[in-house]
Amino acid sequence: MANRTTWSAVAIGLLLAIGLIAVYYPQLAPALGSAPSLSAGDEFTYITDLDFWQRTPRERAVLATSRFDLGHDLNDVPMEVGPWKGVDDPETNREVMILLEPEQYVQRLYDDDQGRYLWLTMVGGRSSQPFHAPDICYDADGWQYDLGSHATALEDGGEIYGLWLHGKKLFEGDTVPEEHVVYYFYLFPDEQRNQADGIVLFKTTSARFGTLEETLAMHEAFVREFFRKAGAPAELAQALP
Amino acid sequence: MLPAVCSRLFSTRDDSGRSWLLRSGGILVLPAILCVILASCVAPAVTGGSCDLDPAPAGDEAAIRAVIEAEGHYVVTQQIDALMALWTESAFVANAKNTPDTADDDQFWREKDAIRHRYVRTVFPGAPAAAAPADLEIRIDGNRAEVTATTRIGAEVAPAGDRWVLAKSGQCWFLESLTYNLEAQQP
Repeated sequence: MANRTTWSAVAIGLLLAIGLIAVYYPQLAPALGSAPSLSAGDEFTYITDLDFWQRTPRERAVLATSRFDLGHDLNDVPMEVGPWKGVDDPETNREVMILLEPEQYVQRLYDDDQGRYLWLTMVGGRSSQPFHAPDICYDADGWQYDLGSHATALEDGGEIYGLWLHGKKLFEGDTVPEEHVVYYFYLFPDEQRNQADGIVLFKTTSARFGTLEETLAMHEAFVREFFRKAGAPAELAQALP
Repeated sequence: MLPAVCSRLFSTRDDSGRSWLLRSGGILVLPAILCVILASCVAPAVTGGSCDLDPAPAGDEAAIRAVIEAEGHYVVTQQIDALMALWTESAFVANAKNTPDTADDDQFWREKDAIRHRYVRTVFPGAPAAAAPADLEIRIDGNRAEVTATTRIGAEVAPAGDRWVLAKSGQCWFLESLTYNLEAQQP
């Protein structure tokens, strides 16, 4: 009888322990040090998000093919990626630099083998000053626009999110409005997201080629050339060699 | 250890031939229930919209009114996560630009990411001290409702300038769209 009571107690204890572990493991794992995290030392690994002020549900860790942090020169980002070939197209409006005071500002014009083109703008800074949301500028310049978000699926799995802006403006003397499609997101060197560690805005701008969806697909294909894989920060850290 | 316990659980039989597991069923129910209760404590509850508000509003009209009032309150207190919990995934915000009869010039923030962006980058920087809707006209049609409101954001007053559309999911009312600047511009 005593033997059976012992076994009952052991069985109940085991079941409770299994239940507790199953239920609370997600919360306990980080404290136990079993969830790896990304750090600035991880090669080509960054945090992306739609905003730099607060984390959004779209925050992802991403494995890049180039360096997108202020510890490196953004000019080293390749000029040729996939079917795209780029040339430097520096910002000539001095007011932009005076207003934003970026630590790094790189602007290029890329075109592909189908004759399509887009501008890549990379803005780096260590405060909020260089990062005016594009819609604020388009609004101030009298453009009509819609705004939404778009996911870029990456070759090796996962997706990163960017905000898109579809702007239209009828310039004097024109009969057809000029249209811009902008797609952008922010990159941080690690999960801490300290502004002092540097933030990089990755922004692509083009005319509309086909529909808005087709144009966003073009931007997505371009972005895919620079980023390979994405996921939750702990997931991606786990996958790193 | 574990295999031994399992072996005892499933193979030990008494003189009548009944397994130990069956005889111990009554005892095992308790930990099983405990496990289920613990699991339900951390399982995501299907809430949001009016169901997240405290105190919980009673009745459809009260819930709709409470959601719109909560939106104004959370704008003032800049509680972005609480704000976003009020909206459906496919929601939109539109600026009618004071030309209610012309859709071409409307400006859209489509889906929640864009709505969040609008709050953070356009609405919050204005630091509105008060954003209370007034003169609510509520029309409920099944699981959908349309509300016309006058919004006061600080010193700005827009008489009947806002149109909210809400949808009911389960027992919870959510914001599906907001169209503002509906009041026609005076010539």
